[in-house]
Amino acid sequence: MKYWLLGLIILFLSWLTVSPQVLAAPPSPETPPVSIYIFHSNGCPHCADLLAWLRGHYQEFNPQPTFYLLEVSNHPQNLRLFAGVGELTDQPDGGVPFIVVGNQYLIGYQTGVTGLDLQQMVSSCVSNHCPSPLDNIIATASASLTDLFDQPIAPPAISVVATASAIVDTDSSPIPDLHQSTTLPSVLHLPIFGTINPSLLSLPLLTVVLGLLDGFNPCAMWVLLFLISLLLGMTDRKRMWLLGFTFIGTSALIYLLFLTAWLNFFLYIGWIPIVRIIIGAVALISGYLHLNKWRQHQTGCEVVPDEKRHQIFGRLQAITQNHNLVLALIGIALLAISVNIVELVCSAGLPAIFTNTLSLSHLSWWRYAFYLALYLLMFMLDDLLVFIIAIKTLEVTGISAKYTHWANLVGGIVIALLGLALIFRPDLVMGG
Amino acid sequence: MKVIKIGARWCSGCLVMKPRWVQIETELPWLHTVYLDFDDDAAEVKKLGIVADRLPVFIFYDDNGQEVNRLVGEVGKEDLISLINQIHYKNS
Repeated sequence: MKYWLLGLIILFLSWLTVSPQVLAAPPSPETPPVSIYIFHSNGCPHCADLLAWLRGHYQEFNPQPTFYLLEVSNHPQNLRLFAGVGELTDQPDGGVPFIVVGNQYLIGYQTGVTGLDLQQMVSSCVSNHCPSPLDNIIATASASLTDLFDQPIAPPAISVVATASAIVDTDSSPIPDLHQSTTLPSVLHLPIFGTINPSLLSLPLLTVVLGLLDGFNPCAMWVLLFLISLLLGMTDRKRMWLLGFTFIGTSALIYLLFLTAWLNFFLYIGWIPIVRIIIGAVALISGYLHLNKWRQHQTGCEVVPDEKRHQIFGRLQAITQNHNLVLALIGIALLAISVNIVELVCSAGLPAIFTNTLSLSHLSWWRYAFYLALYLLMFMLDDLLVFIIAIKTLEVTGISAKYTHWANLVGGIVIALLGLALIFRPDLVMGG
Repeated sequence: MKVIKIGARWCSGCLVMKPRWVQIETELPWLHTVYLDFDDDAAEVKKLGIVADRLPVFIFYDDNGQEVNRLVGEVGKEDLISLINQIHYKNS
């Protein structure tokens, strides 16, 4: 009785938060209710195709399910719910549209295929009674959202395009597992890698390419090279490693903070189409500049202005000659901070392009952390290699500009294509 | 024949060129080369009229001490040997 009353209250409250557009056939008491949860994103063409298909065909479903449309790019609470579903289904990179029917799910939309799959899944759900883990979450909105997630979240922004049987079971029975539909149109099953969404395959590659391109500038490592030349004059190997790694580690930390700030910025406002278009334009300009550098094929390093060079050299010499190791380490860390903060202004383009693309992929936090770490590793790779080789061999080696030359070509093309995708085909980078 | 090489400790391209020059100097023992550091030998570098915005710079002199060529940036070993031989045999 208590649960029944609670269910009615929650149902009433749910009605206050939803915007039902169509009410189709009356509920049938003989058939169990089926809910279809669709996570979608504004600007994702596959999502638009799916929704257009649904609007034209929802009446063909028998029995008629309740459709819940959960937009993720405009509603942080829906995005968090989606992240939770991603964890539950072991599809943290699931991409949109992501459709949950009972205890099965589909990713993507394929004309002529997904619709039939959905109808089959609904029929199967009716025959076998397949409550969805999302039923309780959606129905109880804010009250039960802590059941699956670590922290309470606001009620999802739900819009229902059609509802026939909106009776929601609010009992607290164990949450069944979600199983992937056997007729997935948009994912690949690979022997070693498992289930993979092809639209997201490019993200690791993109991270590696952009990270390498951003960091691979042998001439930009002039401070490190000067530091190495000073370190090589020392006899204490331990001190050499400590000072060098403190400089590189602090530089990496500053850059990580910078990347994290960009990512958070885009996670909050990146869903606004104009932001994506601006970043797309930045990518196009950046791609052009890289291709122009490749065309000019200038080798050698630009001479850093005398005043700046002498100032940093003076500080480096004072730090490395300091007998107190702790003070020397603090000094080198502060120097790394000051040098890198100045450089950040000059290299805002690629991190912004990368983090904006990343934010559009709707990943779980640890996936974001993984991609940021991967980008950072690629960014610091040349510095690490040069430093480790120098200390091991006691001889400083440079990296040839010919690699930069070809990196400019490959990177310029990739960035320009990314810019075009961000402007004209955001679905290609949104995992949709 | 003489070549003046101008580089710096902080210039990656200059470090790349170092082993190439060591090989060339071994293969062409008659070649006279001088290295000037952009910071440590700033006065001499200025005297040479180097207003370079890029490093390294290589200045080639013939047997009469006349400057005949200047190259900026990374240059392949074979290209350098070819240029040096060209200058050397033109004079002899």
